[in-house]
Amino acid sequence: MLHPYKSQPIDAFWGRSISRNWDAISLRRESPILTSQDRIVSLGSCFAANLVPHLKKSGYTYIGEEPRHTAFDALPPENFSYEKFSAAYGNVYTPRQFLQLLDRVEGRFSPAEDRWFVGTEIVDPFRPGLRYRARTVVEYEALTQSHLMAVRRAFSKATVVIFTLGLTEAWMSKQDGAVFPACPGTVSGAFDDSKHIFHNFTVKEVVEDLGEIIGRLRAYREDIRLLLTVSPVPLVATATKAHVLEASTYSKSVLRAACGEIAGTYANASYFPAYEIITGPQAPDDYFESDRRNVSQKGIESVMQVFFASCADATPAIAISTSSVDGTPREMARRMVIAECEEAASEL
Amino acid sequence: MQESVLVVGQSHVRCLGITGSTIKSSGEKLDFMFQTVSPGPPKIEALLLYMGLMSPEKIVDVITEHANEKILVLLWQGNFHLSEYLILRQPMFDFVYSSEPTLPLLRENIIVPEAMVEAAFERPLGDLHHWINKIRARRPDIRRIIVAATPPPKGDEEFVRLRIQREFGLQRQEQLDTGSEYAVCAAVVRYKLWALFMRGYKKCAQSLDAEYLHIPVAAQDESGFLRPEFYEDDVTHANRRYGDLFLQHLQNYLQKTGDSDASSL
Repeated sequence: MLHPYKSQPIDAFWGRSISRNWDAISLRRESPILTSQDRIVSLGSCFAANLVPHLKKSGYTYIGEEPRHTAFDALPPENFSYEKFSAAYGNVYTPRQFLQLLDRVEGRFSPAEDRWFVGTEIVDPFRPGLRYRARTVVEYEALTQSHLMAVRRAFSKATVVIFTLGLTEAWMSKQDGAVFPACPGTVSGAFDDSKHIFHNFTVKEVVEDLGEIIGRLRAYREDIRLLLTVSPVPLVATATKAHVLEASTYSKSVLRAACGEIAGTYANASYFPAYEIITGPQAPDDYFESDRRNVSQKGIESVMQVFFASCADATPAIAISTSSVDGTPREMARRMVIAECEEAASEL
Repeated sequence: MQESVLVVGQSHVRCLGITGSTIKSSGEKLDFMFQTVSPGPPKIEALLLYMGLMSPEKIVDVITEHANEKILVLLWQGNFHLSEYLILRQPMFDFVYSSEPTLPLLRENIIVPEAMVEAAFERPLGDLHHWINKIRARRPDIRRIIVAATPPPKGDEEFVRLRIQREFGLQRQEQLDTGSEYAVCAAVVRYKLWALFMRGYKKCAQSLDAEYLHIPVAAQDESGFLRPEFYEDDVTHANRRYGDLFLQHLQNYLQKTGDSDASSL
C-alpha cells in the first residue's frame, strides 16, 4: 500500500512547490471567493484598507454606506481608514471589536465608556482618530446613531464579508469589556489604569468570537460568506513583556490558527493566505518596506494577483453610473448663484 | 463731525436701492457702481463691485478711494453656502448646528459633523479676512469696519423650486425631484448653512477688531428664514424693501454705538 504522501499534489511539497518552481498563483483558491454577483463589505486592520481600492477598481460591488458627502470632497481626506471601508468604522483589529460593533448596531451592547470629553470636543472611543469631532452631546449622539445605521445598512446588503484580522492585543474597558481600537491616550482620550485593562486574546477566544460573528452575520443573511485573512503587518508595539518580534509572532500565530479552525468548521467561512504570501520564506525581501513592517506596493499587488485569480469573473465590466443631469450638483448650484449675481464667480 | 457710511459689497448691495444701467454708453460693462442710498444723517453710500471684472488691486483701489474717513460696512459676498450647497447629490447631508441644537435634524440624510462644514467655510472666510486686512493696510484712517450679515435663506420651498425650474428648465427640475440623483438642499439645512456661515463672519470680524452687524430681526420669520415680503424674485437675494429695513437697522446701530469701536461693544 502506498503511503498517503504518494497521492499528494505538488503543492503539498515544499521542495517541489516552493524551493523550486515557486509561483504565488499556486495559492489561488479552488472555489471562487468572489463572483460578480457578490456585494462586498470589508473590515479589519490597516492592511485591509490597502485592499479596498483594488476591490473597487476590479469592478466588483464594494458596498460603501458612509462615504464622505461629495459636497465636502475638497477637504483633506479623513485620518486613518475611516473613509475607506464599507462604513466609517475605521480599523477593526480584533474579532471582539468586530463582534461588539455588530452588537452595538443591533442594540445588544451599549458601552459604558462611549464618549470621551477632550477639551471642547467629544471623541468617539471607537473611532478616536476622526478628523472632525462633535462639539455637543446632541451632535455626538446624532453622529454615532447615523454611523451605526450606516454599518447596519452595509451588513444588510452584503453577500460576503472580508475580515482581515490584525491583532490579539487589545485595550478594554474594565467595566464592560468594550474593546477600543487603540489604547486610550494614544490617538486620543486619556489612559486610566483604574478603567482600562490590557488583554491578549487566545486562540480559544478568537475562535469563539469568530463563531459568534458568523452567527450575527447569518441573522442579516443566511447564506452570507465570511472570508478571513490575517494581516502580515507586524505589531507596531506590544504591551506584553515579550520582545515585539515574539509578541507579533504570537499574535499572528493565534489569528492564523483561529482562522484555520473557523474555515474548517463553518461551510460559509474560508481563509485567504495574504499573510503567507507576504511573510512566507519564499517572499522576496521587497514585499516589506525598509522598516520591515509596512507591506510594499509590490507585496500588495502580489496578494491581489492571487486574490483575483481566486475570483470568478475576475475583471467584470465596471458599471458606471450615468446621469442625465449636466454637470455636478456643485456646478449646477454655482450656475444658479452666478445667474443671479454674476460677480459671485469671484467667490467660487 | 457728521458720520458718513460706505456700504461695500456685491450682489446683496443691490437691494439698498442702487439703480441704473450696468452698461456704459460705449457698450462696456461697469465694474463698479457708486451711489448715495440714504441722504442721512448719516449719509449712506453704496459701492457695488462686479469683482469678476476687476483685478484684486483695483478692488482695493476702488474701495479705499471711496472709503475716505468713512465708516466702512462690508455687505460682503455671502452666497457661498448656496453656491456650494443649493443642489446636492442624494442622499443629502444635514448637521447639528451647535448654536441652535434644537433645530430639526433630517436623519434620513448623511449626518456630518458641524466642524466639517465649518472647515469647508474656511476658504471664503479666509477671503473676507484677506480683504479686511488689505483695506486696513491701505487706509488705516478708516474709522470703523463693520461686517454685516447677508440675508437669510428663503424658506418657501415652492418659491425656490420654481426659480430653479426657471433657470434650468422643467426637464432638469424633474431630475431634482425626490428619488433622483440630485436634489435641492432642504430649507432647514440651507438655514443652518447660512447661520453657520454668518457665525464665521462674526468670528472673522471679532478676530480683526472689526464689528459684526446681524440682520434686522424683523426680516426673519419664526423659523429664521427671510420673510416672504422681503423676497427678491430669485433664489438668493432680498428685495428693496429689505434694503430699506437694513438701512434703518444700520442707522439704529450706528446711533446706538456712536463713535465706539469694536473693542467697546
